[in-house]
Amino acid sequence: MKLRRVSIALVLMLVLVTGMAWAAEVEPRVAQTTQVPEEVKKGQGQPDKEVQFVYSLSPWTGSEYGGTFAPRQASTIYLMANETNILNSLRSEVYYWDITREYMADWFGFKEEVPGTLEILQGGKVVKTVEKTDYVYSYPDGYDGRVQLVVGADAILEFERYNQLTNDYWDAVSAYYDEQAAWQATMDKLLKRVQETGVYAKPEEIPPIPEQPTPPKLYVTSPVQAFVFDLPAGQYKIRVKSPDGTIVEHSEKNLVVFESRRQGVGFQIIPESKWTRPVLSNDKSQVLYLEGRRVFYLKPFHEEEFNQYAYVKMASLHKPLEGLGTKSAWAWVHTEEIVAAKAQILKDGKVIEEIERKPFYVEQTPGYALGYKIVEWEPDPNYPDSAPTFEAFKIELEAKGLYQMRFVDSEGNVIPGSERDIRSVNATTWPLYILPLLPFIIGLAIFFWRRSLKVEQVEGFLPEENKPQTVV
Amino acid sequence: MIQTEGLTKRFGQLVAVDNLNIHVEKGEIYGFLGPNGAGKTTTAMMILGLLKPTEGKVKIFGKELQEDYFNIKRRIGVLSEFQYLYEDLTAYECLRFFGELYQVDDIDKRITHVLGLVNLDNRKHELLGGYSKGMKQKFGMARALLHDPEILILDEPVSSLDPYGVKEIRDIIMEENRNGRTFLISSHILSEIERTCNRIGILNRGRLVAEDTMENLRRRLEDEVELHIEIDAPNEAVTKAIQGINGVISVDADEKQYVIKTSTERDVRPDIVRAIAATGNVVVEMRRHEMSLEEAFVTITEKNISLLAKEGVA
Amino acid sequence: MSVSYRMNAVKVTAKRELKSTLYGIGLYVVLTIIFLITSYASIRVSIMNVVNNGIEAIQNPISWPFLVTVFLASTYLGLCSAISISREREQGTMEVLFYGPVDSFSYVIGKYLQQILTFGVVLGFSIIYFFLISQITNFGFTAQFLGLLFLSVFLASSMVAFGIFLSTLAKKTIVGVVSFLALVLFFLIFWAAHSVIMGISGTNMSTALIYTRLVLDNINLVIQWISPIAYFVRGMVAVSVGSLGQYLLSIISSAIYSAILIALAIITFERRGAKR
Repeated sequence: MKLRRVSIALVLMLVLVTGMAWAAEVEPRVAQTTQVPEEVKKGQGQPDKEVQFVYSLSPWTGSEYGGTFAPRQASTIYLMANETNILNSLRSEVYYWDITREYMADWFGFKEEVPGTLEILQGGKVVKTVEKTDYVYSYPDGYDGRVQLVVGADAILEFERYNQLTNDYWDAVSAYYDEQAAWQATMDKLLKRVQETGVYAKPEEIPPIPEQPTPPKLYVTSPVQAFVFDLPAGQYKIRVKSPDGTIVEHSEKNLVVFESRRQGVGFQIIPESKWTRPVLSNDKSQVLYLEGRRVFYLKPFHEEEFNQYAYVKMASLHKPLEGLGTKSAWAWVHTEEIVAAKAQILKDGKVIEEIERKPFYVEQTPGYALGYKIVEWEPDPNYPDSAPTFEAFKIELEAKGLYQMRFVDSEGNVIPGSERDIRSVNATTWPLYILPLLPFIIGLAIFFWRRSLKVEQVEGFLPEENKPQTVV
Repeated sequence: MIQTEGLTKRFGQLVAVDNLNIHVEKGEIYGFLGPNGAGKTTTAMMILGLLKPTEGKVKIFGKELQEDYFNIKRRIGVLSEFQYLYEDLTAYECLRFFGELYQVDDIDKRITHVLGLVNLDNRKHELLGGYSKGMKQKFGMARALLHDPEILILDEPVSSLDPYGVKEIRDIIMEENRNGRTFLISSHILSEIERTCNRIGILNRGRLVAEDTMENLRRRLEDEVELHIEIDAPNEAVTKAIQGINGVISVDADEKQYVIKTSTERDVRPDIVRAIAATGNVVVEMRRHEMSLEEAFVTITEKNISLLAKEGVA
Repeated sequence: MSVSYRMNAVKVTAKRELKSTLYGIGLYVVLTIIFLITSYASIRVSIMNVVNNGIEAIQNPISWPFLVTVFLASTYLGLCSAISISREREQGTMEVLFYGPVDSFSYVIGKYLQQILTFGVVLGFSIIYFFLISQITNFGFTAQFLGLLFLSVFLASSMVAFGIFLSTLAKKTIVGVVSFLALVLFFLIFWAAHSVIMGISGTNMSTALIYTRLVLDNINLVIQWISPIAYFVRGMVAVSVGSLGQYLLSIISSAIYSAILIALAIITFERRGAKR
């Protein structure tokens, strides 16, 4: 009875707490998501647009700047700690697109800068004020390469440098076309003379082909004004104070600045036997287990482990359903591929091999077998557009016993978190079924010993009280 | 040694023990009697702290149990009616366990001693699971004595034993009592209580209805004295002579035997002897018939009377 | 003085219980079954995965089986705890104990200590088994394993305390057993469901899945503090993450959880009494 009452109380408590948690967590989102389809329904595929104050966000995601925005419905913004993040105050037409379950801002239809100062508060006090400043994204290795954020006057200079390089390039292209035309004219004359005289031109008479100018790799985006700032991890509130001193309506939001739980080095391991099915090793505690002689290719990355909810929300704030239910989950994020490093293989603490990063090419083997082999890639002048399939560190091991692997930087320092054990596995399984019997054998021995104490008694039993007593 | 003050236990509407006041003196053997459901075991459990009283308190060695729980418990030995034993242990292992629990000095010697008392020393390395009911009962007695307790509370100590076993346990009780141990014995075997106990408490429907020595109980229960007299040549004159004595209520003659009922107010035996002698007869035997405990118990419980002065009935 | 008597009662009752457990065959049979399951379903599968895939990047394959062993063994011990108090009450041996210098505190702590000591025996067998397995397979015997060994005592403590608490609530052995197994099963299923659902990745999940995930994650906010399995999971994560802070937190939280349940068990026991 008591147990039943306690059980009922426990269940009720569970329901109550869950209900409260649900109300706190789900209810606002339910409101968001239930209100949205109504808008869609009204427009029958042409959603109603609402002019809203929004924050456009370019948060640093670990490897690049992402792009999202915080509509009125999003109450909390997530940003990475101690990284430069970009946030802008705008007005735009916002609508919910049910097909992809996300809020959209019609930047091209209506986009208005909201002037003012960003105030960052903690514990009710303003801890930082940020003015809008110019910024550009600079891609020194081209648009597909790494990105650099340039802020303030440098942003303008960087953009001017880019413009200058581009103009110079176009000037060079123009000059190249002129030189090319001149060269062509000279060559035409020379050809005509040869045809007329039948005498070959001397080599020194042939002008050198003009060299085509190389386009600049640098790409810089147009300068834009926004709030650019970084913050240590913590819970904040933000708002925009307009030039007249008032707080811009709907600009107050929570700001969660989070940091990674762990940093390390993750690996994409490409087995030679199944190159299309790479294996990931994100955690230092993982061991690489092999059986027999194995060849594999490693692509190392710097990585950080973030709370999955915060990370996903940071990059997809405009998607209200993204990341829901992942508050207790953690995820590794590969931030940057490690290129300028060497792989070291160790045995008994001594480096037995040092491996450099090389480009590889997956070559299909001819015939019916439909096989492939992975070969070292070399540039072929006949095919100037050819490229390697991947670049990685090739590890070849006749694994016996225990090895260690690690990566060292150009100065020979071990890159923290890059260490892994490599072990060869003994595939014999029969002893696995013998070992578990050990406790049973011991138990059986004890059982028979204890049983013997009882059996002896029962066999030779003569109840004590039936024996004649000396005293009557 | 044990004193209860207004001890009461209620289970819902049921009053199992009602305002119980008993007092067990040092060195005595106190018999606790009562029909089934009278509240004997409930009282014992409250004394041992296994049940919490609804009202009242228990003092052992002058202290309430909570005041010195472990010290008091270490000075009490208990033998319950049913022997709940660790049947996967041998007698020796089990006693060793209890010896360690009570922190008995020189445990092995003590184990040998107490098992010797109950004639189980030659079976100490056998599992208790294989013991007969009687052996378990005797083992229980050994366990209760193991730590040399000052008070022993025995609940039906001889219920599972044959006559030999009963005698053995009775002898142990008497011997240990001579050694200074105090006993509180609850039993339905009235003859055993009568033989062993100095003082008796009778519990009926949760209330203590009598608490006294056996002799006093008898005295208080009997409203007339029955004398059995044998003379050498009985005749009518003898009968008349006896009837004429002040205090004689009735005289029944049967050949040589006279059954004379007298009042309890005064001892008329000398008058009777003189009266018989005056008729020229000789008294061969004169004995007073005494009420047995069983008769006393039945009288008290069936008539639902109380012999406690407090109740105003004597 | 009463403290030393009490400690003596704890020590002696725990010792007797331990003896009783070691003299029975149950523990050995259970360990054998657990090791057989581990060998077949976990160690063999890990070996076959490496053989079939050529290379596997995984945490030491004996860590997980060890924790599973700890979980199963401590569930068995928790079950024994759930049985023992109510059975001892039913059999009357508890009453005999309480005739003597044993109180609720020493009795419950004695039971708890006994299960922890029994777990020590389990650990002994586990160390031998897993060490030999690691040598035969070359999976390795790492420092992480030593960390797990120490942590496992606290994890087992959570499970044992949970079982003891339930057994003090239950009037009958069968109620203790069924409620313990039902709750452990519920917590296990919840943990499995939560892990599976949380493990699903992708941006275009169905609304139903998103809400299921949300509900489970919210319930988990509560479950993670009342389920003994949650303490296992936290410990496991702490060891795999290699975070000393989390490791210590896991130990401390398990210890607090055990202490609270044992305190509740003592209070419940005190109220119910030792009488049959």
